Amino acid sequence: MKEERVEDRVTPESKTAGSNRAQWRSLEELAGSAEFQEHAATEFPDYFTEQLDLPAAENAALSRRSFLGVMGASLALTGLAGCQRPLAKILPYSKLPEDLLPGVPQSYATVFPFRGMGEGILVTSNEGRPTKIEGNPDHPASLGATHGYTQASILQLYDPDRSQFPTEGNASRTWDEFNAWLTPKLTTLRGEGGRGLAFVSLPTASPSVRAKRAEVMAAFPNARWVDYEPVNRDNAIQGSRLAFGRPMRQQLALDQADVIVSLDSDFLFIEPNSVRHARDYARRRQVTPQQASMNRLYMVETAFSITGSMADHRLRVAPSQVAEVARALAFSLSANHHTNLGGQTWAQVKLSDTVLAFVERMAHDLSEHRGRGVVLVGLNQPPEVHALAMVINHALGSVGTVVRYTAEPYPGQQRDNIVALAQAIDHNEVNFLVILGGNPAYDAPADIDFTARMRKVPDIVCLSLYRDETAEKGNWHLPETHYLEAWGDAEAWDGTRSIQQPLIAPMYQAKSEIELLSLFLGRAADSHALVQEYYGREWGLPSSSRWDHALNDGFLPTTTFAEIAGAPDMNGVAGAWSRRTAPAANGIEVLFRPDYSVWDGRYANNSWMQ
Amino acid sequence: MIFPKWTNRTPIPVAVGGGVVLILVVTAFAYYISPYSTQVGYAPRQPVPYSHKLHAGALGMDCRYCHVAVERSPVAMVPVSQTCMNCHSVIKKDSDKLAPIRQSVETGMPVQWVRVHHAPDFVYFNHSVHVNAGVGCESCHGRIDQMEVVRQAKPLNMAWCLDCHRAPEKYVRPPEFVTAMGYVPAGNQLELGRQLVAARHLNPPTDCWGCHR
Repeated sequence: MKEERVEDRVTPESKTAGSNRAQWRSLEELAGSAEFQEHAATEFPDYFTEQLDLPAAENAALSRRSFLGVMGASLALTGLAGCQRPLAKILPYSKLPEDLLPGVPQSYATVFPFRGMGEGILVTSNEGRPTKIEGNPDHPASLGATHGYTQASILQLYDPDRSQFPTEGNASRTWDEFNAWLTPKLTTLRGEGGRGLAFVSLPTASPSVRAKRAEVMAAFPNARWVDYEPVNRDNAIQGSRLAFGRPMRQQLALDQADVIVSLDSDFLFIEPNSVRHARDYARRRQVTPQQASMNRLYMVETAFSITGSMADHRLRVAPSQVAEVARALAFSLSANHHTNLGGQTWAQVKLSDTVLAFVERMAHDLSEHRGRGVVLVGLNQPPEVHALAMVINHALGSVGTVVRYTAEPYPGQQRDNIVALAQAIDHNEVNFLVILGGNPAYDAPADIDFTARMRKVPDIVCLSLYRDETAEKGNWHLPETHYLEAWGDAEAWDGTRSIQQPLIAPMYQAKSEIELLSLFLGRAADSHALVQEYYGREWGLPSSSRWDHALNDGFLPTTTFAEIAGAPDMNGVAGAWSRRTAPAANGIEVLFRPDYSVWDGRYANNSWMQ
Repeated sequence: MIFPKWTNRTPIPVAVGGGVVLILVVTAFAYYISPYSTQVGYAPRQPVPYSHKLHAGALGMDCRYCHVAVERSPVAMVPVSQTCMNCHSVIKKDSDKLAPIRQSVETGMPVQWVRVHHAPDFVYFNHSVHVNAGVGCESCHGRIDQMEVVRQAKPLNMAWCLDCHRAPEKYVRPPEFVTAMGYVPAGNQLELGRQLVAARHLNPPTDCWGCHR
């Protein structure tokens, strides 16, 4: 019997192409592909009916009645199985591990490396299995709180979809086989000083990995190294070059700020060090007998962000107009509020009255709170806006109170680097590509078509947690250890040094980045030995107690970056602005933002981040 | 005529049906409270024929020599294999019965003991809280010192738990007698119990969420 189907009754139009309909349920339906129509016509999709071991006739079209029959039977059988008491076993340890009492969870301090920064965390471990992550209250980048991504990283550790063994093409391999393949290649490469060898990696927070990278680059002087991450700080670093002539990193003390003007800066979530910023910001929102007033937040942004939802005053503008608002703010401060921003180059900007009134209010408030106000700029904004904000903060006297500058340890321009690599591939200058973490086939800029370029490279080795888009295209895919499985180290945003101590031995045949780099230097060693070796040089282990302190507390105090004093080049910034051509304000603008749950896609398989 | 004619035939089926239902209910309830359902007397065979009667009874070893976590952890902890070897590396060191223990120590793999006392997953039970409150081992586990093979001595069902949670004074002991077997209170238990409850501020939860968290 052919049963009436839901689709037949509800949306008869869906059979025809959906272009003349006002609503559709998916992009596939809008496109009206034959494949989708076939899929929508059957009540249960193919993959569902295939799993049921039914006679062929029923399998062809699983009726609702037979479906209920099967489900009812399995429910009844489940009930029967519950009648018998299961035989439970107790498996005690053979020898009790030191300091462990079964049933009582332990807590270890370690560090979560993310976007080239470390966030100090405390991980709860039940009989050797890490189960929960919380912030380390003493760590300056955490103060006891964590980012959502930090919380979710515990699920990533147990993700059954993680790669478990090396693969070559689609065949499973062992690390010994990889080594056997790699060794002759390395001999050839070493002969040529690494000509044709290129590494693509995520920017790392780890000094020991950076030292190992330097060793690799010394062994292969002609090789290329590219740091790339889609959500990067290229613009901010370029802005600091404009303003100070050298790459600088901005350290914020938002608990010192009375007025915060955010130009598209989602400093409570997306911007680096956001956990600390959120804490400092919230501290100034509390009204207590000691603190009679709150801070005030002005937000100029395009999309509705977490920070925007906290703002006292929020202005919605197109992405290209944020820079114009910055220019108008500069004009207003210099013309109406006696703030010296370097000469008379700041001219009145044509903007709507609403926007200009908003800008005037911000300028007024900033000038009323000199030394206690700050202008923050988002990652998406062009370098000139970052530089201008640095000039304004300096002119307002907020440097030294709210804003401090330190050296930027990772000054590379990531987008330029990956574009240069793509060009090198086009010129056949790359024949051995090593991808360490990251997923450039998925997240490299679309206009360089990294996937197509990967096909031109004969040998590609990918180290990653998952067999992702990039790993599929390489000829070798090597599983990477989760950060809770390997030894390492990390610097926080302010430079505070932490040792990343693992909570569990690697569950699969996986290696960390430093271990793989060591293989390229012809030496198989585990991460503990490699990290200790680095700190043996750095701290003079084992005679020093610093290692033990770092493990116990989760970080070493007094390892922060040194503060750098300096005045921005006001005229230089003004000159850069006068050369800048404002983008046309009409037409469609596209804004690229990291996702609040899956970030740049790396949490796509994490069920807490959906 | 208020009732239709067919009602004349109903009393007998109703009486028979009601009787059957009544018997079923009584049987089900009898089963539910019987040892067969509560598993009293469950004494599975263990991989090593360890005798509590010998160790805890004749030799008089304290419970906490092996169950080291009982005062500090939710689980009492079945001893690790190394604990057995503390003595058995000297005494009866070649016994066949101890082969699984020796093997475990050598290989590092656990001995697979069979669980006797089983609290369901939906019940939170914490050994340390009970032991520190003065609930004797014997109160829940029975005369372990007389058991050649450990068996479940008490029903461990909810009504049984609540007996004590509602009237702890009937059962609590001074802390020094918690591991004692065959304990007889010095004086009137109720009086002593009330003093202990007051002195130690015992307030066992009888709310659902006390155990079903």
